[in-house]
Amino acid sequence: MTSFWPYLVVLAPALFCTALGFIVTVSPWVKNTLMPWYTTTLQSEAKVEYLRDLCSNLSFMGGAAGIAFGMSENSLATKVVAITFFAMAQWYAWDLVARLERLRAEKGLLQVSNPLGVQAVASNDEAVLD
Amino acid sequence: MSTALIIYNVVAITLMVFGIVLGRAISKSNKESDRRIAELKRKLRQRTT
Repeated sequence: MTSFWPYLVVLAPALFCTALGFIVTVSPWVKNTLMPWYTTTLQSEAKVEYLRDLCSNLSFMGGAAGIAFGMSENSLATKVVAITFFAMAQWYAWDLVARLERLRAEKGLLQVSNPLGVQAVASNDEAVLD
Repeated sequence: MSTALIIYNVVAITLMVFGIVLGRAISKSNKESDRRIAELKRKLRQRTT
């Protein structure tokens, strides 16, 4: 097995700068731009359904590609990454299913409590019941 | 390791890290939904009794 320490030492400044760049640039972007968009997306049933299907399909495609790569290059690490990727993507899809269940439950309860749909604009509009 | 293999591993690991962050956001939204659902159920029960 090739020793990776010399490579790591040479790449250390670049890795340090990458980590620093992540903290300074990517982290605020995730907090201020990605997350507000994402939490809005999670309120829409159609979008969550789309994300769930996309994620489930990608988990199989990515996993299969990784296993194929790992077998052709005889790399155990890549096979492990591929299996972990598959498991985590399926886990995330399962989280989205749980989200979908909540959205549907909320929608159903709002319909029961307000069958005529009066003021049923926002799912969290509690004034509907008062 | 070939270049394609390295690219695959980096992309897969990055996606997994993002998956953890996004999964945590889902749990947070689900907790808020659970609270709203419990509130709606409570109000419905009050109305029917």
